[in-house]
Amino acid sequence: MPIEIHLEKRIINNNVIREADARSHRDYIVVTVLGAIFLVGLFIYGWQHYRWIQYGYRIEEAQKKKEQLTEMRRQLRAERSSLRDPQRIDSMARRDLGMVIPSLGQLVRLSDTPSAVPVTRPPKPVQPQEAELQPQPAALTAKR
Amino acid sequence: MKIDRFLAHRVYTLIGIMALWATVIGCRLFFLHVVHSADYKQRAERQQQRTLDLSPRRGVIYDRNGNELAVSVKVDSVFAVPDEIQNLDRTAKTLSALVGVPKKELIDKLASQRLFVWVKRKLNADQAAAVRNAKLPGIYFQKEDMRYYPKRELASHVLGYVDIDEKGLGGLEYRYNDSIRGDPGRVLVMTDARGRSFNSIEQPVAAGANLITTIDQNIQYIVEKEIAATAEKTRATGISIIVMDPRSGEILGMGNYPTFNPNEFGKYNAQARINRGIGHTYEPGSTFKIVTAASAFEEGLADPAELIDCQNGVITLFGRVIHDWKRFGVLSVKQIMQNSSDVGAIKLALRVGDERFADHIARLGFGKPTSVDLPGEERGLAKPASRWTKSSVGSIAMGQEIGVTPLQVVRMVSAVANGGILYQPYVVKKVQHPEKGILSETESHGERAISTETAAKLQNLLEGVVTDGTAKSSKLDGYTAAGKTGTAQKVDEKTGRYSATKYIASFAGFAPATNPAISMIVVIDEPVGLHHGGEIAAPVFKHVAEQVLRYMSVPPDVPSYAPQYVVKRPKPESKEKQEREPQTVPAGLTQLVAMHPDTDLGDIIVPDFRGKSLRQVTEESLKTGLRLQSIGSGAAVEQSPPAGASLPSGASIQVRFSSRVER
Repeated sequence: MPIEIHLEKRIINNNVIREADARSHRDYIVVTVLGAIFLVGLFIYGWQHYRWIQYGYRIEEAQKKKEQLTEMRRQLRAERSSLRDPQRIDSMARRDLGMVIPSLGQLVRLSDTPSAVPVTRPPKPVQPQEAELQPQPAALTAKR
Repeated sequence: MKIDRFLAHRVYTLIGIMALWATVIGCRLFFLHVVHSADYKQRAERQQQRTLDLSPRRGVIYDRNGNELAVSVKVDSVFAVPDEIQNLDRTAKTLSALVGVPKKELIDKLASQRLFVWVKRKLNADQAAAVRNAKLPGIYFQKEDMRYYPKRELASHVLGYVDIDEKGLGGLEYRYNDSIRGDPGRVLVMTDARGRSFNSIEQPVAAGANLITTIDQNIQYIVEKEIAATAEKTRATGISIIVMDPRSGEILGMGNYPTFNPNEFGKYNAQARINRGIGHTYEPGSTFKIVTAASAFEEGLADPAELIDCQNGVITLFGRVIHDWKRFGVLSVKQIMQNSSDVGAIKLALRVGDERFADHIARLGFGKPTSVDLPGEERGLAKPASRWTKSSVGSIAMGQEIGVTPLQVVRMVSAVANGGILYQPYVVKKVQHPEKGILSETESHGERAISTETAAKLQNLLEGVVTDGTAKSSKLDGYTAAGKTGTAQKVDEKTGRYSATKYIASFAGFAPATNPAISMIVVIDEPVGLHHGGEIAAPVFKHVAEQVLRYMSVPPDVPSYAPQYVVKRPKPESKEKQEREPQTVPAGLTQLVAMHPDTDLGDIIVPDFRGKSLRQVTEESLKTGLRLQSIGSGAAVEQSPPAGASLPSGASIQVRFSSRVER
């Protein structure tokens, strides 16, 4: 049986000082910084894309809500207009409230300031948006 | 060496597999990106993007006071994507029950190869909710505008109606379709995997312009109410009433019978949708005598007081014998109008002559459209003098052989009322865009048709017709009125001769006669029973005019109907009661009693009211215990009895007000 002899040679290199490689160090920093910048950019892009989509959802929802409210407003105006139908008011006033058309002497408009010309023209037209402020003609009076 | 060969073999195998994998991937990518690129792109777009067409929104039609007469509201329309329908029969059956479309029709639609089919458009809210709850695959909703007329039949002939695609088919909807329809928009919506939209690119809808009309919904209602009552009473086949402002040509109200509801216009026959006020030509009968008299006055060939022999009510005109309704002897021109004498009118026309009479007829707007801003206007039938027969002048003088529309007649009467200006009638005052502002505004446009002198003479004559003539039944409570009745025989289509049973009764006039605020025409076609204009048309004029003038706050100009006020004295209560209960005077009387606590309501010295306003005079009269009869408006200018006279309590005092300074 052959005998193998291993001679252990202890290498002591503690006192060997590795020469600093300034170039590779700089490259390392540059790569790290560039990587960081890339990652930050990527993160910012991702974040803003995410926010863009989120704001998109919110804008779409708000627009839908606005459309719904606008439509509701239109429908309510149409309903109000329907409720202001003179025929409906007339029949309700007569049937439900027992009102009658006033005789000529019962209805008089008083004015402190005499007008320059006799007031015989129809009521002054108003802009549609002002219409809701206009009182409806009170052509009916309570029956005594 | 053996090991190296084995290693190389493995490496080559791996490279081959990777190459194969890369080739497969590459081929797949080639097919996806090159061969099927368009298809997948389309699929992706369909999944991620939706393009919605936005229908234009029609403008609103308002009355003169800003009340909506026609508006558009969003409603649901239901459509199907046939590819996505799983059970055709069940879907069709369910939908048929919910939306009221026959099942067979639905199966035909749903089985089609089209990408999109309408199931039913413009559902009502209940139907839409029911379909939505059914959650049928392949069935979707689309919002669409629907025209809605909130006042239903009110002013339907003026407003008109629209078809399912919101296209105007009649009235103002048709005439102003280009202005009020707006332009459609489009929106591209991007959606995520869950179908939620997160971004949209819009081509916005251009809203249509709004119309502000001259119609007053309350006057229109009065007109239509009286038309309905008259239709019931006379059982006529047709009725028209037009109320106009004689000083501008603005149409305040225009109603017809039969009428229709524009919300469901398809349920009515075409006859009901005709605006008879502008589209019905008829022989005017005696109302046309206004034109005859105007022509004679204009030519200086007659005077209201001039006497004319009516030949016992018979005249022979080129072989044609014409009888008056009564054997009139000598009548003044005023009496000819009051009594509606045909012989008298014919004699006036004969003085004028064919050419000049035809010229005056044309100047007063007959034989050509009035150019009112409504579709379907008839021009009437007025032949030039060159085509008249020898007896035409006589026929036309009494309103035969000539065709007119109600609007032409009321326009002519307005000219008499306003002093001779023939205005172009109109219905739309302004076309107003919500963003661009006022697009157009109608100005009154008129031309002098008769002189002011002639107009004044005619006003006097027509007032006489109401006070002492054939139109006594049109005498208003509180207002003076002027007008002319007409009763025309209709031509029997079978015989081609004048019918003995079919008539058109009419009345054209204005009120108050002293300062006209409205002019009006009432035309009743084929009434059953009473058929004279003075019997059935004049009372309708009275009913409408009284209500309209009162609504317009026109001051009464007839003293006997002026408002009266009286002070009510609280009844003296017994001493016991006074001691037992604290005084409880009704709120309305408290003020009056407090005003004159110590008056014994004995003899009252009449105060001097001159220069005071109606309010001041009313309050002072109440204080002093006098009954006030006020006439006119403005400041008090005259009173009877005069200031200083003594009167018993409750006596009447008449005070005339005027806005003009009188010396």
